[in-house]
Amino acid sequence: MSRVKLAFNWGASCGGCDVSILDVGRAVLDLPQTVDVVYWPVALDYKRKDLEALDDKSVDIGIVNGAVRTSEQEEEAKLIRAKCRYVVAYGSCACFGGIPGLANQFGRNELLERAYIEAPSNTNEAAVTVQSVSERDGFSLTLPEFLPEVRTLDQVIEVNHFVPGCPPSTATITELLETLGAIAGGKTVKRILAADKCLCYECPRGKTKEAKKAEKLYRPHELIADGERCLLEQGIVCLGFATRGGCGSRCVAANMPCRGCYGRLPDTSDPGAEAMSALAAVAGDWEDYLPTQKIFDVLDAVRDAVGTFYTFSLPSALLKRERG
Amino acid sequence: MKTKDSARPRIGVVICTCGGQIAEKVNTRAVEKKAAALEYVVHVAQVGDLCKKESLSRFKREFEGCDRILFAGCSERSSLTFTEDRISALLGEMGMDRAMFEVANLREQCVWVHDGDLTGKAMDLVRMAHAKLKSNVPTPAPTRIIKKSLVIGGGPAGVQAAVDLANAGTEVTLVEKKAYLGGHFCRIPYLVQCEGWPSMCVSDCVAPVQAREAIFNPLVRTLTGSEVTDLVRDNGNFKVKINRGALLVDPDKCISCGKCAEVCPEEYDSEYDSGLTKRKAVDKDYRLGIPDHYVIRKDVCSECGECVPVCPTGAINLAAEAEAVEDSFGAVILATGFKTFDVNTLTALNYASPNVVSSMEMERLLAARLRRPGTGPVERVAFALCSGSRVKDKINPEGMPYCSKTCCGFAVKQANRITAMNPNAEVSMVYFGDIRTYGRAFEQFYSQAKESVDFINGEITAVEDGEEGLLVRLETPDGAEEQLETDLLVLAEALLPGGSELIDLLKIKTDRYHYPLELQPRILRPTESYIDRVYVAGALTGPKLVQQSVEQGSVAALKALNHVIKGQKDLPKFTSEVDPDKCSHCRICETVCPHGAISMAESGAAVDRAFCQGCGLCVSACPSHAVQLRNFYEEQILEQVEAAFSEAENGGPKILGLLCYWCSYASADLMGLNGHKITNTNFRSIRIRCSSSVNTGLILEIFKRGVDGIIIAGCPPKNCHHGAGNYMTARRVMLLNTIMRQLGLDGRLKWEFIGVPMWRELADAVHKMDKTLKALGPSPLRRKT
Repeated sequence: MSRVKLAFNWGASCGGCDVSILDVGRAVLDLPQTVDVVYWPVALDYKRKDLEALDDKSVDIGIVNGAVRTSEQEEEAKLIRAKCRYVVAYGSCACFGGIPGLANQFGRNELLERAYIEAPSNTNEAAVTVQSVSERDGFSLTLPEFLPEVRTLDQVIEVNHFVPGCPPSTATITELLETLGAIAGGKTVKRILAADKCLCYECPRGKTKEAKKAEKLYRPHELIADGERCLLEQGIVCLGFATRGGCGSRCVAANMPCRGCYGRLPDTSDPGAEAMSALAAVAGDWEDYLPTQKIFDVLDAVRDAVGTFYTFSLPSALLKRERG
Repeated sequence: MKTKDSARPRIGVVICTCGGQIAEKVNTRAVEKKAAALEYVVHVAQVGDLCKKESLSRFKREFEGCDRILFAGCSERSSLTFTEDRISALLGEMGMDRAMFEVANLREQCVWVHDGDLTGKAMDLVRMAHAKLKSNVPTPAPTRIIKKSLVIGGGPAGVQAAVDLANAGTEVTLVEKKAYLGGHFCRIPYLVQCEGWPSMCVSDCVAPVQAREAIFNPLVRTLTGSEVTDLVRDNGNFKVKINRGALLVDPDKCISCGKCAEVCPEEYDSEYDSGLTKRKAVDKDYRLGIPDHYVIRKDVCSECGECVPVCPTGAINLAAEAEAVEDSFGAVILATGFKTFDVNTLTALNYASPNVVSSMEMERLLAARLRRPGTGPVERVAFALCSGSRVKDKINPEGMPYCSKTCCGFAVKQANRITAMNPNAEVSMVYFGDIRTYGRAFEQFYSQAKESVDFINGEITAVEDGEEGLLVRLETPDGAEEQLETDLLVLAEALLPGGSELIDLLKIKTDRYHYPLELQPRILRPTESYIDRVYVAGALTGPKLVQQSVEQGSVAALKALNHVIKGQKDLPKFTSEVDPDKCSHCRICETVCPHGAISMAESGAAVDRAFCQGCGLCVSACPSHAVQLRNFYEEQILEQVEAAFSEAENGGPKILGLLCYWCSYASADLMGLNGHKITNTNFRSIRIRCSSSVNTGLILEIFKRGVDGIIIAGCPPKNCHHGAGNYMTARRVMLLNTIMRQLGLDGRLKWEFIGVPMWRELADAVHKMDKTLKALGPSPLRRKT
């Protein structure tokens, strides 16, 4: 059987996704036996022209991490789509928008002004922000355009498979590497490489659950969590109940709450709504003595609602900031 | 009428003009015509007075061939003549399933609340009802209810419940921890007869009278010395494990002659008598206790065997073992009584002193005519009221914030008994702020006591043991320090609910003191706990007189009887259903279910439908969307939304009210009834289940369907029919609004606490939202097509 031709690319991301692939260890060293990497700008010396030079649909699988923030990322995504028969959105940014997607709370100009003018670390008296084209000494310097919003990969191109995670767990990556042949062969492979049930289903703390309310919620620094008990029942906002499992429970094993990087569950249409709905139901103290205005106090621990419920998914949320 | 096709719904639409009132503003002929064109509609008719006998019988004949009916007319919730219960019964008479109707509320929420031509809105209301009706599914089949009741707790409430159930001809098992029936009832020698009559009955007379009614009734199985160890819901019934204590003395042989106790070498302080007397390891705690037999205390008995040969009837078998009894019941009455506050925690009151006693101990002292072993006669007695009651801070370890209600009355009763027994006794009573001798009897005891008792307003700061008795130091309200000397200090201790293990086992919703809550509207549902067919009676629900406990026992019995006599329970048309393939076992639904209907099985969350009250709290909380409410499916709501604004008038923002089944929907009805008008005719409402039956995802989906603004309203604080559904949704909306604000989408979603009479507030909320939405313009959230 011929080797699977792979192209890797990245968009708006931190680089952790590329590292995560290299991080799986032995399996990467074995890769050359089964795959042929034709493009991977982060790890190997390829330039965009190398990608452009390939024939359309000549690559079996394109694996793209990162969201789409700039015109360059959009162009490259489309290029990958043209060259590859199958496209995999790799990592939470490509799948749902990821951390860069949180920028969608703000307008384009607000972001640029904050980053280049207002931020205390800047010295920018002339108040210059990035320009797509700037003229200097007769030269025209260009930069990719900073688009009005961050989009997920499948909001820009058609995506065949999704591999969530920030970054995907080694187990998920191994599953992906093992199924590359099947994907290239057009065989039926899971569309989303994650569990169909929520993290609680596989959480090692599940057995300790008592099905009780979280009478008080704590911000992470306010409580050293018990290492065995359900974090939510201890009052820590853990989104495991509304997030796909398959991640290997890495965060909860390290006594950290789930923040939702494996994405929303099947049968839901918004990534943050279900978590909000469930948390509002289980958080709170006795109702009989609380003055009405105090019933909301329990939610004080949720200082940043968007950042809590849409940490990795704002661009894929049903709610979108209106853009002029 | 069109021909029948068994697979397809056959919807009949009946438009009642309410004597022409509706027709004044709605072209009902036009509605009739359009309704006839709706999917599955096979017959449409118009009447003027559907609620009246003649029209009804005509209606029944005319709509015989239909299997679902859309009633367009008055409100099913607030109509005084044609309510949902009456409609259900009507459908039953017509041989239709009672889930197969919907109402288009053309009167209260259309013609009464708007001016002008309302044909468009009326038609939209018909469309909404139709959108739901066409996909309604039949009510589940009734659940079999076991025709036996379990009464836990053999105090006055429990015994009365058992007696009443048996007298009505049903089987009862009565479980009591102690060896005899009656509980604390038997320890209080002088009982206040009732709230109204200022006299007393003695427990030695009435306790055995009540107990023997139970014990000799063949339908009552009395298990004394026994405890319920497990109590689980099982297919609509209760599966129970009872540990029946070892019958070391066989009740069938024992004649209570006391020969065994005479030879028994082991002694202990009688708990029944608060240590005033001694008991033997084999003995009878309460001489008049029923069932009448001796009991061996295993923890005291040295198994010397002396008693065995002296027993004339051979009743003693030291090798007897406890027995595990398993049974199932259709109803449970919990009457586990009260426990007293641990006065040891009130350090200032020095309960450790032998001269400081609790009021229960005082009762035994009164039974002993004030004679205490080892001390002289009691000449000086002081009472400390509110010992552990009415403290201000809920987490204060030194007491409960509530008034224990009976203590003042009992204290003055005790004071009067003391002066009756010893006219020379010096009695004083220290109270804090006020004396609460409510009712006719207690107040008369108080008036009588004032003639001989010294009442002192103040707070006790210290109680010291001295040569001449106790020195009680106190501070008066004006800050002055006073002191009094006494032989005995009686602490009128606070009362707490008993049987908390069972409350936890059953997951009964309680208040913060662990008193079980009664179902809303609790005014109309005394003794009904949040769990179907679990009734709570007696001091378990709050301190009360014996007569009031007996009263509650009877009430609970009557309520249980309704079910055990029928032997089946008709299920509500709304019940929650779990898709096990989608369930992730997160147990959120189990946490939020106020009615204890959900438990975790191997396959995931499992709903016992006979306990489900269809509130939908689980639906809105399930993060996996694995739970849906029958006949309130999300698709049904969304279809209603899609139909809701088909004839919305241009210009007015489209506002949707999601109004809770009980309070808020009724409030919207009363707007019209009270002649209040809403100017924007593009206001539509959906009568949701609990305000917490819609989840955040559904709210977003409704926005996606082009609604400009949503008002969600539920019962006022502390009034939710399902515990705290209103608070859950209030928090949900608060979170969603925070996010919408962060994204610049503020102003389109509002939460309101709306009780039935708060129609002005609801109208105001609609007007305000109308104004806001007009300024904001059409919603950008509408899904682009």
